[in-house]
Amino acid sequence: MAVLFPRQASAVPQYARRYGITCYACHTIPPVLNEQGYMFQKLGHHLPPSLQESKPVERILDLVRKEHEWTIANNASFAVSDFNYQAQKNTQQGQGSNSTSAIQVGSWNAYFGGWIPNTQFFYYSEFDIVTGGQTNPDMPNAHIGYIGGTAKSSWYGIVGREHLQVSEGTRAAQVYSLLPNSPLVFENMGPTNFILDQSPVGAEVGYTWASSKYRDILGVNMKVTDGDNADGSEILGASSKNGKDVWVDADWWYAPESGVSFMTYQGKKSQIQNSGAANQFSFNSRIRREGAFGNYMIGRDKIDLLGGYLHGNDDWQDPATQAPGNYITNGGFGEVDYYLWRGMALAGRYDRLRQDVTNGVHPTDAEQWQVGAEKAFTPMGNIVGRIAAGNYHAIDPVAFTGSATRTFEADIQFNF
Amino acid sequence: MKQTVLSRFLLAASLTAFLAITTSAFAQFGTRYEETKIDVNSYPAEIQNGYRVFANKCSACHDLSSSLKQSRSPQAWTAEVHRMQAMASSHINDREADQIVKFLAYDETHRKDLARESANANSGNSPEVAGKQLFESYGCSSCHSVAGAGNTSSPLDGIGNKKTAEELKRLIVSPSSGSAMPAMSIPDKDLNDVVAYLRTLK
Ligand code: HEC
Repeated sequence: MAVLFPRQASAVPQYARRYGITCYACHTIPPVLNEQGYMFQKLGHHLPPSLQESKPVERILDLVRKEHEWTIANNASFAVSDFNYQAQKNTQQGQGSNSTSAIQVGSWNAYFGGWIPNTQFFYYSEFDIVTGGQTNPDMPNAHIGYIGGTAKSSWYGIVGREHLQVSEGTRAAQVYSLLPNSPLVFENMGPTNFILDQSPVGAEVGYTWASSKYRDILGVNMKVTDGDNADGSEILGASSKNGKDVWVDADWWYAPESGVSFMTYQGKKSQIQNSGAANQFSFNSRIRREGAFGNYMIGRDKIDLLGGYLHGNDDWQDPATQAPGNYITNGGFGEVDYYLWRGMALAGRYDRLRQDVTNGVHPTDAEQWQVGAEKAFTPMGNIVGRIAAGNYHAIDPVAFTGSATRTFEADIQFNF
Repeated sequence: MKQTVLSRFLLAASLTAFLAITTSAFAQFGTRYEETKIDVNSYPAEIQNGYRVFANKCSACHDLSSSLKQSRSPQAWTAEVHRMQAMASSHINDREADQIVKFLAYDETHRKDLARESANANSGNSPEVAGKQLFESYGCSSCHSVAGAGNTSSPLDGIGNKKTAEELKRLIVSPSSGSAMPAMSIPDKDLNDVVAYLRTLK
């Protein structure tokens, strides 16, 4: 799970190309993963084989031997991009409102992911060229892993830079959804703007078990990271921030396509606050998150009900007075996805995040709703279109000023 | 100022590269997914239902052309559908599996056989010509290519130089276990024709 750092995930079409299968083998609609897509990631980027009661279970080594020939088209996608039109109306308390609209190349990423031929090693890296409409080269993921065991009972270890953990939980715990924005609880960084998933370089281990016919899948994993230039953007050069993090995640999928995930995150952050100013101080804080997420699929791939809850308890220090305190958050969301037919869905979500700073006056709320429609235009998921409208309003938990944003968005993703 | 010129240049260069890559990727994607439909109007209602279940369930993950071209015995189709049932996210229940198998078995004797008979009839008694058509109607080209046509992940160009007729027969009917090549159930006459055709690939 990649809680706490909003990232746009994309469908990576090299995998469908490799096996000559459609995007729906692994996604309900790209990039939302189904059970098979989850298992694919857990098995080190190999297609999960049939698990029949009466048949011997294949070892990972067997899957490696059966892989197609390694080619660049099988292992890389160079042009995963999003073009969008966005119209926004922003209202700031006491300042009136302004409207903006733009057509832009929202994102353009390249992915390299696959296996090292004839070995149980796998790798994954993501190179971002355009992010949020800005040409801003970055490499948020670059890691190598080893997968052992069998298709039924497997384990893996990974080292490197890893923004997302390997498979991001069951459906409701995935940061990305059919809607353009992820739930507020995933984006909550706290009033001192810590990005919890800061330049994370570290190690992850995981274990996965699946019953016959994948009726149940259990996955647990733990990641320990150290972000030395931990302000979320810098890779090179000195930085005044550091973050040490531990993530633990447990998932249970039960067929067809329902599941629950539990996660906990414990982080220790240090950064220079008010850098260069007279009141500069070094801020060390502990950050904790605990959450539970679940979805229930009614009718096979028809109506998906999703919900989640996340509790946060962070050390907090007033940047102005340095008075110590706590920043406590409780957030939740409910979502309904209605799949009209294969590759076409309507979705709606309501989100709420209550933020309470102990030496603040009273808790405040951030609220968001979104509705949208999404459609995949080709069976390989190479072209996906979406329209969505949403409203966000919040009261700052420290300054107590309100703001609101109304957004209409149309976007089209090209995945090659 | 400098910054914007550079970023415009980068954007223009990116877009050009993007178009080049998408076009070539699109060309490749085109060869991988084939929309295949067959006319089942003359089939009994129950089998027509089976066709609908088959088309809906199986097309979720792959195109239908290989299943509609390949020939298997009813037992082999049953095993294949059971294997698919045990894939993650396939969600095929036992009743649907049964409907799919019934359709495939019926289609085998009512359409695929006829296609093969006409291939034989049109061949003017040349085993190589019949074999070329049978190579298509048995769905070999859904996994193999010849001269770039078909699935290019396992080309068979030049196979005639590498294998004798006996070796080819064995490779087709009883491939080594664990191989991704399925054991094909092909009557001897057709097998001889396909092998005669493969032997011409030099
Ligand atoms: C489901 C995909 C599939 C189908 C259908 C298929 N093959 Fe294959 N075939 C393979 C694969 C994969 C290999 C390579 C097997 C290996 O190396 O283990 C192979 C190997 C072969 C070989 C040996 C090639 C060599 O270089 O040794 C021959 C000959 C062959 N196939 C012929 C055929 C014929 C003829 C048909 C149709 C009657 C056919 N195949 C149908 C997947 C398929």
